[in-house]
Amino acid sequence: MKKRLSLVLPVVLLAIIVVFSMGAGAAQTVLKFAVWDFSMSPEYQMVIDAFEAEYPDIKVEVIDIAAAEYPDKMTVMLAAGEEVDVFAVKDFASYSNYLNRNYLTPLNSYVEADGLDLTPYGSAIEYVMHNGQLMGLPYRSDIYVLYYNKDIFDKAGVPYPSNDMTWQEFREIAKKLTSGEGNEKIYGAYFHSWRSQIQCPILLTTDLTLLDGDYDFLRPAYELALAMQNEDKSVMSFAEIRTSNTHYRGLFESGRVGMLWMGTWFIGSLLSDEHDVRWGIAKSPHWPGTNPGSTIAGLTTLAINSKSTKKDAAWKLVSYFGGEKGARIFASRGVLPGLRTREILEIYTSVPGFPEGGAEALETAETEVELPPSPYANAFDKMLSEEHSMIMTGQISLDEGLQNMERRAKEIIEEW
Amino acid sequence: MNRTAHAQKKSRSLLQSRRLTAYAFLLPNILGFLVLTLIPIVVAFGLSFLDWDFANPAKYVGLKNFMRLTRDSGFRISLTNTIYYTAVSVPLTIVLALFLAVLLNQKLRGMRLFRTIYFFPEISSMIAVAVVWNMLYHPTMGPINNFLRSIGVANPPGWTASVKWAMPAVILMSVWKQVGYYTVIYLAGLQGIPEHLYEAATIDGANSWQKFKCITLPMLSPTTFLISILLVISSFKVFDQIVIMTDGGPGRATNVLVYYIYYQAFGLFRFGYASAMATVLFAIVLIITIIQFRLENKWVNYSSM
Repeated sequence: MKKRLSLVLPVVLLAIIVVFSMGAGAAQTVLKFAVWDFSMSPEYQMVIDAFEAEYPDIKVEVIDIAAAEYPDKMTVMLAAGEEVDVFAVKDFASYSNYLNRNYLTPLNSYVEADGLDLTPYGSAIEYVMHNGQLMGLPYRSDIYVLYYNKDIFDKAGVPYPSNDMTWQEFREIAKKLTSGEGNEKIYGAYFHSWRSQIQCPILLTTDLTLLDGDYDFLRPAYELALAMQNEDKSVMSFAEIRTSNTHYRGLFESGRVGMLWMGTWFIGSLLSDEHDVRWGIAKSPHWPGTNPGSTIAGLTTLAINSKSTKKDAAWKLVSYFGGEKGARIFASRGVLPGLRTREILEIYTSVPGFPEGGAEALETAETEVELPPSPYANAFDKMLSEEHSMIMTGQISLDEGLQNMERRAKEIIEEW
Repeated sequence: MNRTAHAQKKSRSLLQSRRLTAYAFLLPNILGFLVLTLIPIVVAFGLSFLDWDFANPAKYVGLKNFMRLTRDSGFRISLTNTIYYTAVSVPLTIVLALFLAVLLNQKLRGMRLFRTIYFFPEISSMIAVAVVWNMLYHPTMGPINNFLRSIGVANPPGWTASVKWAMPAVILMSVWKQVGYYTVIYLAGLQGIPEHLYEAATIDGANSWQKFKCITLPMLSPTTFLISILLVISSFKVFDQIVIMTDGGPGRATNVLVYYIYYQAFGLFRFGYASAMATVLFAIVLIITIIQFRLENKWVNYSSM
């Protein structure tokens, strides 16, 4: 028995080695690419397919991670030195995190070698520059717009939202659209439970950011949201959203929401999901003193792991995703690319199902980010979310909430 | 002479081989304990004197992490919440488990079925159970509040959506989940009480309450002691149900120690600070357990008669 085993084992091993080395082919570079919710976003696979067709010597292996745990998991993987060559940077809090830990490869030398023009990426690219070095290449860039359900407007006999609407008008319209009770209730509008839904639009009225520790400017935004929730009852209550795990996507697509302030990533979902909602988009409502089209913008970049041993190949993938070819594919699938040339925007707005007049809604005036990159970003995000939930569930008054924010902001900075 | 030496040698080698077998059997457990428990504890203790973010080189900071604990409102709140959770859930579980055990100890038809029913939550997955309870607790559409409204409670609690009620909601669910396990331990204890004690008491004319008070309770005191130690330790480690049901909220109302340690370590990547907190948690649990053992001979009765 033992003898037989000792004879069989080397043969099996040899067979395995032969099979695997045949599979690997001739000197192919394998890139490990980490991204969230890959399986739910077919456009990523399309870009990778196109990339591999153009670079047959490079093979892309995807590490798919669920969206909610992506930032934490990515940090742990990078810290543990796992083999990741290229990874997506989901938001600025993650970006600051990676930057502080030196996980990002500066990209200027690659940009210069390729003669890549960065102007079509817009001014937001400043946010991913560090000491004059580009640390990640944007491949997606989203702005917040207003989604509306045409049927609900028609039924209530209210004209569709214009591209120049204030948040006060938003409240009045929402009141008119609200009808019904219980599970059949039509909400005139919907604020998702994220703190950014209330805290961010008003950022455009001030030079402050949410990291400055001064939160008095948030007052009108909370007053509006609380009035809509508690007096008008034109939005689903925060407590109900939280306890029933309501998702804006499902609620809007089931035709129960009149207006929704949401990022442009939702366009792709509305185009690909099955639903019966006739929807349109308009510019984000604005606060008095700001121009129509002023809105919150976000940037999603691809970065190269500073420990990667295949940086040249990695850059090819990064610049493919962020460049012209990747942008075309993303645009054709309803995903707003980071590269914003006229041609790309035309592809984007002529996707079948894209709402009429939607192109105008995408033109922006001033833009602001949710949270600028900072080492404190994560701690502030958590603190602001906690106080947000206290205010929205009526556990504390708005005054107390704003005072708590200020006190805790000070604590975070002092104790860093 | 020669023979005895030989026999001695033989018995020694027998002893040795027996020892070896014993150690071999212990090895997997000890190895697991060393690698997965003891070494991490020692490392965490060491880490608590460092400033380390998982990426940049660690810096020795002395007692800075411990000093920071005294000023951190998040730590204070989570410690208070943990004590609240423990102080309510431990006595509640003990009383309920004892009550159920006495109830289930009767010789009636179908008792096995009831025992299974009460033990069921224990073997269910915490994730599934917590999700279901969240639905039960739903402030407007949940069955609990629908029931409360139907019996005339005008303003039923907001449960997990309310600062005041979130912790009671978590406690209620945790007690329901764990009570079956401790009931089984009590049942075993009950069955170890000799029947003749009750017979003697009956002859002396004791009623059921007197029997319970003077026989059952004292005879069960070793079990109660064991259960209270197990419960206090597990209550200080409460984590899963918090993450799923409330995520520490609303605000920081259910922010418990382990949740806060996890957040500091894997949300903010302050491993030194999180380790300092874990060390303090360890010390607290250790001190409480020592106190419990000190008080043991005051109320625990080990005599079998």
